[in-house]
Amino acid sequence: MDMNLEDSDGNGRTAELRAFLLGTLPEPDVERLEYSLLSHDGLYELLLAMEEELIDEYLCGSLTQSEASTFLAYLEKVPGGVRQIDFARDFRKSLETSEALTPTGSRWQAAVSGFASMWRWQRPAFAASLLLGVLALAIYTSTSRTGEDPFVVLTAGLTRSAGEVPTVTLSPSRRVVTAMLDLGANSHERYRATLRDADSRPIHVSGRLTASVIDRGVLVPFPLPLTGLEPGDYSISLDGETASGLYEPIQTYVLRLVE
Amino acid sequence: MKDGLQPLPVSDELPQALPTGRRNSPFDELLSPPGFDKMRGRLVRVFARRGCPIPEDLADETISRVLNKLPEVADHYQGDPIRFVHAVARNVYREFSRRPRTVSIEDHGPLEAASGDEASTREVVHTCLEACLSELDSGDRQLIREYYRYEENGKAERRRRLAADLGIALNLLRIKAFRIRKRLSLCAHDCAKKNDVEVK
Repeated sequence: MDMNLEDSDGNGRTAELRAFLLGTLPEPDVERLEYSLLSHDGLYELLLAMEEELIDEYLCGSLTQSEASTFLAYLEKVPGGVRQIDFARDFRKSLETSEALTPTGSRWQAAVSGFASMWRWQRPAFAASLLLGVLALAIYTSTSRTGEDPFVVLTAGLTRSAGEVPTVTLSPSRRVVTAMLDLGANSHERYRATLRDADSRPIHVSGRLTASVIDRGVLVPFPLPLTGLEPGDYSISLDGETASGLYEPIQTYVLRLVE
Repeated sequence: MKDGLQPLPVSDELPQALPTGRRNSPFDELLSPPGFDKMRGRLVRVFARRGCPIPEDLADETISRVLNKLPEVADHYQGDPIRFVHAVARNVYREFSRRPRTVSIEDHGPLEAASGDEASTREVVHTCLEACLSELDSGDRQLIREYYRYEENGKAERRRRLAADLGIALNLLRIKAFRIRKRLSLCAHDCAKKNDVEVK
């Protein structure tokens, strides 16, 4: 079944879909459009794309209260609709802060250039969750686990030469590992962690981290993206945020990535 | 009851398959995998858009009724089977909307951002997403970066220019960007699951 998705300005169809999703399309048009959506793959996919665009508009505050109310009522009923909103929030944040915004240059150069903007955006405060605390406890009670575990506990003071460096195995299917930074004592409300390569160049940074206090210690969870990292030695510097908003160094941790 | 409406009568379970001699090939294609899943997903959205609080149940009810009607209509039905499905869906909706409401529907407030307890989970998802973004090939990454750049003004014009630069129609660009975004969503979800994060 053929149907032209475009009209003269390329927006007619999307305007109609938008009105459909916001509940402002007249009933006879609704019935006609419903039939088209049931029968036309391309138009249905365009509807899904419009859903994403309206979610973005909602998150930007561009929808009126009435539009937002109608659209959210719809999304809440659609399977996975609420998750679409969560994803859109993450997606937006990632596009704002990710090094993917820098089309050229190496990973660390991108990280350096993105460093300032990351703090400018002041990522929301990330309280340590109960879930992470429980998981951390489970890991902490065992020995320092590596390999394919989603978490690795790092203790400050280890040296690369001591032969006791925690290792993480890189694999194509593994994109993230959470480094649980053993803090000893919870000295600050918030922390900033920076992953550095063997030459101490910053690769990835997360701010506003908080500590999880568990029975046997205090851990700061620091999720690390593994994609694009080469095998080798890395370090993580942990800074505490002072009352005046400045950072002071606390600990340094070492980590080895292996294939 | 969340939806404030009377529950639907229990519908018959969907038949696994109709006897070969009683099946009509256009309906067959529509109501067998993967056509069935496609049709069901679309019906769910149609009912959700009409404000039905149980759109999945109504989609199943529609398909169930179509399947049950097939033995009667299969031999003489002329035309587009989707019209038939749509007509049944409209009937299901009309019946549903006539049911008495027993509890008022609560107003919808804005959906809240992640709570403190969910924040670390979101941080993992965010990190996963960064990793997934970096895995895109440079063309897709550039496209999605341009398409979804957040700014108050000029978005429509920027997208129009982008479509022109790529030599494709605007709605095709929309769909292209949507597909990349969907891939990212699946990638981030998969990554978060591998990190023991339960994504809702």
